[in-house]
Amino acid sequence: MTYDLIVVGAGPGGLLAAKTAAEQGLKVAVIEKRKDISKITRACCEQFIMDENYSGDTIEVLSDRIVFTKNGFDVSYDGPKKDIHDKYYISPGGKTIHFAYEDRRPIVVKFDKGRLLEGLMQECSQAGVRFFMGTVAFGAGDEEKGVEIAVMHDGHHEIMKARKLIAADGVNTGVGEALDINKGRRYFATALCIMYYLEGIGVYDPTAMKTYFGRSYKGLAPIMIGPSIESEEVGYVICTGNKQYPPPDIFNNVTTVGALAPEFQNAQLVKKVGCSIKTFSPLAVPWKGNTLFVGDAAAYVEVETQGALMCGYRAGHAVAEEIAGYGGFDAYTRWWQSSFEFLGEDFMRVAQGFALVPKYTDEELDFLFGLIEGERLEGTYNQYRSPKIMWDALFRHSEQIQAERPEVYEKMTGAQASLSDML
Amino acid sequence: MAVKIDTDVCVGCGCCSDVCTPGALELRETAEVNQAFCIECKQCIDMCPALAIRLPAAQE
Repeated sequence: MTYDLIVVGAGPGGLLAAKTAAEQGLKVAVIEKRKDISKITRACCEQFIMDENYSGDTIEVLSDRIVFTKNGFDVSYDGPKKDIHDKYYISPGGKTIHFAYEDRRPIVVKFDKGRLLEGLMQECSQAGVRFFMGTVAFGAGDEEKGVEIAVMHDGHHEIMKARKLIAADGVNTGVGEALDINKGRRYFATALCIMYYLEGIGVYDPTAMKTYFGRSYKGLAPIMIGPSIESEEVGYVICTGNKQYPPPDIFNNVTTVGALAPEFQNAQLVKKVGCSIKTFSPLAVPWKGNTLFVGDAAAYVEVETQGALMCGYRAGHAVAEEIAGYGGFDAYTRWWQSSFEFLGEDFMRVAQGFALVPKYTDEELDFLFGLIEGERLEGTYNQYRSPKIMWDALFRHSEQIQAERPEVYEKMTGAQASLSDML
Repeated sequence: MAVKIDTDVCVGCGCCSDVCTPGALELRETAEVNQAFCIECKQCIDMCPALAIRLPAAQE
């Protein structure tokens, strides 16, 4: 059996692509390694970001659906939601920078991703999509007449065929590796991440996201603590490390010897989810031959859930148009390039800095964070705008910094300085 | 021989199977190795955030 379209990956992007293509009359199959997609075991985006024009769209979260106002589609969702109004950056000595909107509207809305995916899967089935669950796609070949995908299911290898392929298999795209799509991309690093869900974290605030900066917390990257959708009492701690300083060691140090250790004295581990992220520069042209790379598979790190849904919706149409001879892949590429911030040069310059060892001492971070403690900085989830807003706020105190701490000012303005060095 | 997975430590994220080019890793409650296909390339070991995968001691 040759399908019109095979989609690898039943995440938000893959499912919406499959549904959209099936509604256009295509014969579609989805290959997914997981048996039950409602159970999330990978650390991933489980929130809608309420920034205006985020990745080219402003979304509205309604009681029964999520509306993408600019792309012109919506996705059913009537599961639990939780508004997060505040975001805090905290220095080693507890000096706190506060991000929030003046009108207290939420910065992000947490949701139950397993439920969203289940709903999408049902809609796919109603549209005639065939599912191959518990099936790993580990190889792919692309020739003029179509694609062949090597799959593993219950210990057996098989070949599946389609005219077009959508690789929606995430940040470590195996399809991309098999089709050599990463050759032209710059590789930065592999980040290892575990998200620990705990009940009873001392500093846990069910309506706020907190990020702890500085060496005294014993992380590698800043330590993030935030709310879960599961219950009012359960929060998460994100430990991001690498092969030399892996997440289990980080978690152990953060909770037993770091500056936050007392906050974990009565905490009980509820569950763990993980993710390793091979970080590449984004694909400027996210297709090759008969294969379209959507969502994280083509991104710098991630497009978040709403970005994946947009990619899926656009990709479903793109494949139908490509098969009909209307250049759907090129149209998708134009939309992709105009929508995602990480395709801009400036973004990459900032983003690369996240991997740098912080050049400010804990005491210097206390001094700097203290300068703008008590101010309200504009609420945004955007990982690019947040440091920029913080940096602008700090520079409004440049006379004071110059007078009191000339050596810190030197670091902030020196030839090597960029706002990313702060983080 | 093949890699071994410590199922007590594995969080089931499936990142190991993302990079398994011979198609030896499947995902059930935790990752599972199909010994016949493992080529001991160790890519999965480098990808595991939980440090749940290793080669049996004699081969390290």
